[in-house]
Amino acid sequence: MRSIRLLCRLLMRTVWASLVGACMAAAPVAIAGDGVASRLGQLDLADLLDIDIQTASRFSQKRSEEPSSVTVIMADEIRAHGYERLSEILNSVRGLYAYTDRLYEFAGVRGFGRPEDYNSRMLLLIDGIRMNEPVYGQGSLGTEFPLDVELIERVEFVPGPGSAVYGNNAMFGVINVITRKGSDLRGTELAAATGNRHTASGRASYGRQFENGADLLLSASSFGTRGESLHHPGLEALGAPGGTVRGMDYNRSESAFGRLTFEHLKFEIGYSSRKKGIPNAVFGTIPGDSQSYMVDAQGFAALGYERELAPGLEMALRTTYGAYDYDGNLPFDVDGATAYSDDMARSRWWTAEAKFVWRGWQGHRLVFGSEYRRDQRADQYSADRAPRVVNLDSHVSGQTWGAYAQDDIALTERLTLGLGMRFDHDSHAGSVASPRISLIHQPDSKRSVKLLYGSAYRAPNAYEMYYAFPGAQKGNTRLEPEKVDTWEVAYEQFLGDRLRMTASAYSYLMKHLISQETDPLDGVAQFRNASEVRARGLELEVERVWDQGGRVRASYALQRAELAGDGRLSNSPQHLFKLIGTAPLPVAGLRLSGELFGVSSRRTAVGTLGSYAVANLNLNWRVTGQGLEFSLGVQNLFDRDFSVPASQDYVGLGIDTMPQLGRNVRLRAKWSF
Amino acid sequence: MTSPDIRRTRPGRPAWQWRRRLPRHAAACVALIVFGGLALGGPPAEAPIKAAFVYNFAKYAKWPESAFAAADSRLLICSLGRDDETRELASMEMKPIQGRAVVYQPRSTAEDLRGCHVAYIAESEEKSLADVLQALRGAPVLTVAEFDGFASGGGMIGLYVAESRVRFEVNLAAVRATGLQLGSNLLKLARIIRD
Repeated sequence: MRSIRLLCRLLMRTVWASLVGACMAAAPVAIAGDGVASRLGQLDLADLLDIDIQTASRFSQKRSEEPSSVTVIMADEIRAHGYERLSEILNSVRGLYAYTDRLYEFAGVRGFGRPEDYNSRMLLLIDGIRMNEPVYGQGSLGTEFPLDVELIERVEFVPGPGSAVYGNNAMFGVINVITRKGSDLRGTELAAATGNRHTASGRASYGRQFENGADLLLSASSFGTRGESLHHPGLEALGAPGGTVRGMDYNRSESAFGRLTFEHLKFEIGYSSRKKGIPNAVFGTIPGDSQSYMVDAQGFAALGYERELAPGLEMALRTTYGAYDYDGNLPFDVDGATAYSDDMARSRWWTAEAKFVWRGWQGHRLVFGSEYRRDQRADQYSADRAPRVVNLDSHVSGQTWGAYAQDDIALTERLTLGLGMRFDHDSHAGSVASPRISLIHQPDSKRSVKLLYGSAYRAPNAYEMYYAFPGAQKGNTRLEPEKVDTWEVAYEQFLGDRLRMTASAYSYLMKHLISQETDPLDGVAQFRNASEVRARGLELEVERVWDQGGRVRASYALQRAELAGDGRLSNSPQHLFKLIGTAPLPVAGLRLSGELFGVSSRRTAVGTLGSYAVANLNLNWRVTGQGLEFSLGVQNLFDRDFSVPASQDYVGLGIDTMPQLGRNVRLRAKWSF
Repeated sequence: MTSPDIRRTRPGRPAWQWRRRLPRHAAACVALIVFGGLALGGPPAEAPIKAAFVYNFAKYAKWPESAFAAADSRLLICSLGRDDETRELASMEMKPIQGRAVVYQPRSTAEDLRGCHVAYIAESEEKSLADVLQALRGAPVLTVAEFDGFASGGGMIGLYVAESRVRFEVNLAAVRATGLQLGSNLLKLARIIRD
């Protein structure tokens, strides 16, 4: 521990020393830079392709055409900050806040951070392929996400309702993860990392474009960590000596991904499996039992066909197959003896989609399509092992059919009206219509004002409807879909090419929030449609980029989500503050990146948690021309001890807060050849 | 029932009092980033690299005999419009290629690009791309640009940035339609666009 502190202190001193050096060195370097450019012409093409450049000087212009303020996180930012998991990437987005219950990872958005929702209120896509599965509606953001974050080209986050195009789950936002092309790898990439708490990971990737135009990417990764010990006084009453569980926060994951595009065809396949130790007595299991774990395995395959049918008419067809398996090995104390229980979920689904884009009419951009989704299985099972007693054996199948159309009409050169509507018929939730109306005014190329009304929904999932455990939880097949009506106004302005400002204000009214409650008659938990939730908020962001590759983004979110008659929602901080920056150091190939997050106090099920701030730092070194890259990163730099509200799964056990991760140090190396 | 203050109970670690310490850390962070950003060090910017690519493409291209008036005619690299890359091209040292002196000349109309061997189309001309390509139809002029959709829209070589590096894509059909040839050493480094 002491050595780590020493290392950090040393690191900080080095950073400061190099900063002072940077300021002093700035002037001469700027002058020297001039001569380099004229000599670049003498380099060979292959050498030119290997030179790292600064790309931060431009913003993606695509953003201003979306009806809300889109955030795009590019691969170079992911690398600069040393992000390892999708949750860390999302945590850098304004208005989002990531947290963990030490089993799964979650992201709250716009004041909604329901501690038990498995991210089912945001839609998670990989290259447009839906990842939320039918049992829990889960979108995996941790190491169980089936894609190594090093394979991401960019992450687009579109806040607000997306159901008018995407249907189910797209309530508060759509996360689209775009993967790298094989041609961008140009060969083999090997990566390895090590860190404190016996953490190690590795990755091997291969990508190229062949003579015939086919583009191939293949990759496999593995990750392992012993994890931290978990301390919570509530664990002592449940049997953990001193309230501390050691060695059970381990995580071992593997993932593989492949992608092949050839002419109009695109095939993608992904798989991940994660074994996670249980450190926290979830469901009332014996804390610290060495045999307790959860395994989450998921996979998908997708085949797409895209082409231009006629001038101005594009068609995209896709069929996907998905699978998700959960297996829990749960130890319970039965009259002083340990009895194991098998907990399982199995889901299998396939989809068929068609989408068309028509630009043939002057001033219109028409997008329309339909989607069929078949949930072949959404099964849940739970049984005591010895003596064998089956507590739950639920087999469910279902289907959803959806059709949508969206027309963006250029009313004048500066004013665009967007009209969109999607209609879904779900075998459990019935028929749902999701309209969206937007008005975008662009007085000039530097400014835009957006007005958006949208409605979105989430159908109750198999877990909420059919999970029933004698004496603990009962099902509810009469659940209605959650719906949210949203209003938003957003303003975006560019000052020159280098400074961008965004402000947005929103008002959400959510009806039929599906929430876990306790039936007063029998004391058994059940998911029910709660009363209304009203959320209002304000988000501000300023981003500045420098030609030399520096970038600073500061954001603030004010949010207030209230359940009718019950005051503020739990796990809904009122203030979120983020400061994120990256800058090259004047030593060739070195880049320093840092993040500072401030989160205000929030309610737990029974009390209030104080505010906290966390800082992360990452130092990157790219060895020019060698294809080598090293980075040293520290998450939770000052080893702050902070917690987030725990879900209902823990509250009943006397645990209403969940401690978050302490300082994590990572040393990474990557070799491309 | 647990106390909401349980996170304070881990021994030896004071609770995080961010209200008091945030300003100091924030100031440090801002200073770090601002100074870092102002330090004009690190890798070069995009424009000089892209300009170097434009010059380099000429090394790998083979023009039909008719493109040169004489055996010792100069190789002309031209540009249309203005951007950072054209400024870099103007100041770049250009050594002879295939025994021919290389000269850079900015041009002001698309028609004037005929007679050049390489034509760099600046981003300012993106909107009139169709007209520019129409004016050059059939002429053995290697067209290069850095804006999105150039090569797929009928241009020959499009520069783009991926993974913090400059890459290029080649529209082979557009190149071959003019009698131009590109060396295999160039093509194997390119992303090839078909159709």
